[in-house]
Amino acid sequence: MPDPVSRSPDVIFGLAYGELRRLAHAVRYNRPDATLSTTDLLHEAWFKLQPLSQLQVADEAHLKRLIARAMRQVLIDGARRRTVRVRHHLENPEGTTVEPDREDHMAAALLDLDRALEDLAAVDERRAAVVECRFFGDMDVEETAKALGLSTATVKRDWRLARAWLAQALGEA
Amino acid sequence: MSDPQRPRPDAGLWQRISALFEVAVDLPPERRDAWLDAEAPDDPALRDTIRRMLLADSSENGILAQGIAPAAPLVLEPEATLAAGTRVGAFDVIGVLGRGGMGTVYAARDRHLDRPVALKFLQFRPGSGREAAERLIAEARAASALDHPNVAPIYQVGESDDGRYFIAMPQFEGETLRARLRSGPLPVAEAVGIGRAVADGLAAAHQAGIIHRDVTPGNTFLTRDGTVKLLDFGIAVLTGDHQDGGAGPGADAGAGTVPYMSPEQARGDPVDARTDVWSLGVVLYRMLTGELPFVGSSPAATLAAIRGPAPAPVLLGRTGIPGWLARVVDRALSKRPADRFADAAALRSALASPGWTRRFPPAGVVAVLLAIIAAVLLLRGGVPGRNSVSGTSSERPTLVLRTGGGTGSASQAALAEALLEDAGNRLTMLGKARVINRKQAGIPLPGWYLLELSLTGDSSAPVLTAAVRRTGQTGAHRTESRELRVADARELTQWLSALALEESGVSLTPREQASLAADFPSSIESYRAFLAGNHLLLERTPASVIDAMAQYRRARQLDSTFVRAIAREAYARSLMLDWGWQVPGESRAEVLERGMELSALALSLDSASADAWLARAYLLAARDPYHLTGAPEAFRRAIALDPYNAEAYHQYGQAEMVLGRFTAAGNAYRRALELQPDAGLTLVSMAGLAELNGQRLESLRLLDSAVAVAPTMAFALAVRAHVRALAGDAEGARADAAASLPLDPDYPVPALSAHAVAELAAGDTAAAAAWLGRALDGFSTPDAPSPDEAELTVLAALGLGRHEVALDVLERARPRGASLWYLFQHPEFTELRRTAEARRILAEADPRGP
Repeated sequence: MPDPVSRSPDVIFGLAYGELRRLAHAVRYNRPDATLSTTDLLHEAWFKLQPLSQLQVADEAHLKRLIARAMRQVLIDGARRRTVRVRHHLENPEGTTVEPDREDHMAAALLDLDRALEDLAAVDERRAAVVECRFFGDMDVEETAKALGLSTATVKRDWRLARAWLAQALGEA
Repeated sequence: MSDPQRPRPDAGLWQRISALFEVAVDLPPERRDAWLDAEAPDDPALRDTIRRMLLADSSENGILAQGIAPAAPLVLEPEATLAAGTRVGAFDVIGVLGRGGMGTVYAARDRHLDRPVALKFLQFRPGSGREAAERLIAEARAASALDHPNVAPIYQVGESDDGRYFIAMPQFEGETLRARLRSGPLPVAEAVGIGRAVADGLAAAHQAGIIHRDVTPGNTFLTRDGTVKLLDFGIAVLTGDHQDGGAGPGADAGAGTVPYMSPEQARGDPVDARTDVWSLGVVLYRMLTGELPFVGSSPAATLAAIRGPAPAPVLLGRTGIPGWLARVVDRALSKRPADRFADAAALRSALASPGWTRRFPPAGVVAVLLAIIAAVLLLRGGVPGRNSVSGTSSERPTLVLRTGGGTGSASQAALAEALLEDAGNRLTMLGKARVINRKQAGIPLPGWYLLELSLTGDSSAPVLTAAVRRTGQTGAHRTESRELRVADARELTQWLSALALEESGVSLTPREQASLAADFPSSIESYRAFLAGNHLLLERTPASVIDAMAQYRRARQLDSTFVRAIAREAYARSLMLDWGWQVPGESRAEVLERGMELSALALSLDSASADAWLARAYLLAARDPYHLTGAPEAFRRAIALDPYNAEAYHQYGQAEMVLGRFTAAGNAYRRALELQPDAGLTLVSMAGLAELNGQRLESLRLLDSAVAVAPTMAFALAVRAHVRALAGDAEGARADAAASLPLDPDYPVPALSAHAVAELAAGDTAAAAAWLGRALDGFSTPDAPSPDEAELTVLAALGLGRHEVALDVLERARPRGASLWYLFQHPEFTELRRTAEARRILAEADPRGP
């Protein structure tokens, strides 16, 4: 029997996504003064969803992988909102008071990265997955290796290759 | 920003890139250029790509090197609101309509059609691509094309400049069901109305082969004019509104739609229309109780509870929720799709109980009912289920017993059920726990205990597995298995009783423990026959009661001192008498005589046998239907010995009614109803009492409840038809009579006479006369109609001015006419009462006379 997470990745993904959004929402509405890092977000989501692995997920690592994917989505959604805002200001000069700032640039870069990563996934799923774990999932080499069932040496090599390719695709080099 | 011409490698190119890079990166930097030139002499673009990659590799700058930490503000920042005037496709944003936990809904105007719309943005996930999304969107379009009043249409699915999909739909005024539920559960009628509307919309979609997949309060919109609109067909998963996350301190905050997911959905299995049936079941549960049937401390725990083996908790016994409705919800929440309603249309029909679709007739008519309704019930129908104690405030734990299917043959399953029933009977007798058996299967409140019995193993070596758990907690407290061997039947019953009590924290005195082990027959075959008899008796049809009698007889023949079997046979005989059914080869007198002998025998073996006292009480009432000599005392003994038996209270109440002691009767009924809130017959009896007191509205309310809790009880419908006719509601009476007639073909007279009085109320005397003729032909026992048959036909005959017919029926009914004296209390009898014939009948029938 396949493990339940692999049978219902949509569901787990939905849970992780909802959890991340809820946490972010809770911070910005309930504790406006609080700061919550992306790492905190991931840890919180993991903490909330981790009972799944005790209950029926044979593969804890798989869960982490889905959280990473959900985090990617949450970030991309945030980036989209940000770029809409920027464009709105640019197109409505009378309302413009804000110049694109650091976060705006970050948002644009994230959206580009997302597209480039989609291109990469089309030809090399494994290396795209390594990036998703390492970058969006904030995992170290060992965690990534566990999440994807690879050796740490492979993860290191894959990460180096994918990172280099993405960086040049994004015009960073 | 993104470059539309960005190089997208194909598989071959990517292979070359990765091969070259992995070698080059291990070379000393100064040798890389020369090596690359040699490896790809004719591809400068490729060489350039690799060189830039090598440069990036050595850099600590760039987004990937920084990680996601700097992106936190993007996540934490509140969603930017589109300003008024922003163009999205063909729409101009006007303002914000509402904010859900996951997104903003905008009010906008369609520039071309100049009409207001609501805009919602859809969300996609990386990896799954837009293909799946587009399939869902196609489905949403198909659903919106259904043009059903309970399905919100979608005007357009569009793509905004920044590549986000959005949908445009009409603006509705009102609120979502989710918002409504923040102030707590809804009145039953409103919940049923909303459930029915949602089911209606879903039924149309299912008919067209479309599944919603996400029926939730957040997707159910209640417009100001009272219409219910189901939103976001197919695409709910993309609109984000399905997420309850962050919506407030509600029970499911953060749990998303997880609480509404069907088990198959939670497992990621393929779904069909029945997933919507499940979700609507959860919505109904939530509307009725304000709570969710499955909820854990985290989404994961909720998900585990949904797809785990634990059944949904039972609604039955909740104050104000009728039994039939609890059963509908329970069935919608069956873990196995095959056990649910096949689709929304089936659920819709189940929700369309006539008890809820009709209103009270206007109360203007002050006709007083021919006030015998309750009393004559003494001899018709039993109150179902003795081990059905629920809904009262008490220190006793509530225990729900049910069988959960499993493997094994039909006869093994029947044996398992019978064992559980017997364990339930024993526990009820002890009075240490309130026991609800599987016949009233439903939906426990948090803190109830569930004992679920299932059969595992193959049919040659079946194994009984009993799992006890506490509702509101996931996972079984305790699971034990025993081999199902007929030879061990006694031990198995004791085992089940003990297991249930121990786990629900009940401690027993040694004497009580002994009683759990008491009165088993010496022969296993005898016990098995006894269990089979109990099982048959629950069906309460003539054939099943006769078969039950045969099983009890066999049980006592195998063990001549088996008191319970003897008492139950006497009880089965009393039921045959009560209901006017023939025992083949025996006259009524013989049925009665043998029953009396058996109850005397049982009491000589065990003077504390509640079963035997109850049987004796019934038999005494049948022997002396006018004065019930000895019956009330016997009922009181039965009640004292088994104080949690709703049926005994009910029947005792009937006896007191016959004897004209209405206060005592009312108290007994109330106690019976307390013990078994869905006892339809008790409600009908209480309605009769209310009529006697001139409380027409109260009577109609009670009858509405009776029909609601027992929608298939022909007699309740027939009685309501009569009362409605007396109240001048001819249409309501006609509908009830028509609904009643097909439900009990063995006993058509109440429905036929109800038709007659309904036509009288409508002024059609010819039709009324025709129905009366059919009623007269329909008496169950031609020579001696039962009191309720007599009463209802006499009422119709008097309405038609047919005094001679009324007197004839009264005369014929005398042998069984326990309560005929009531008839004469009614104003409609005033004229009849003056006749010598009537006076003679009255003199004999009035138990209060000399």
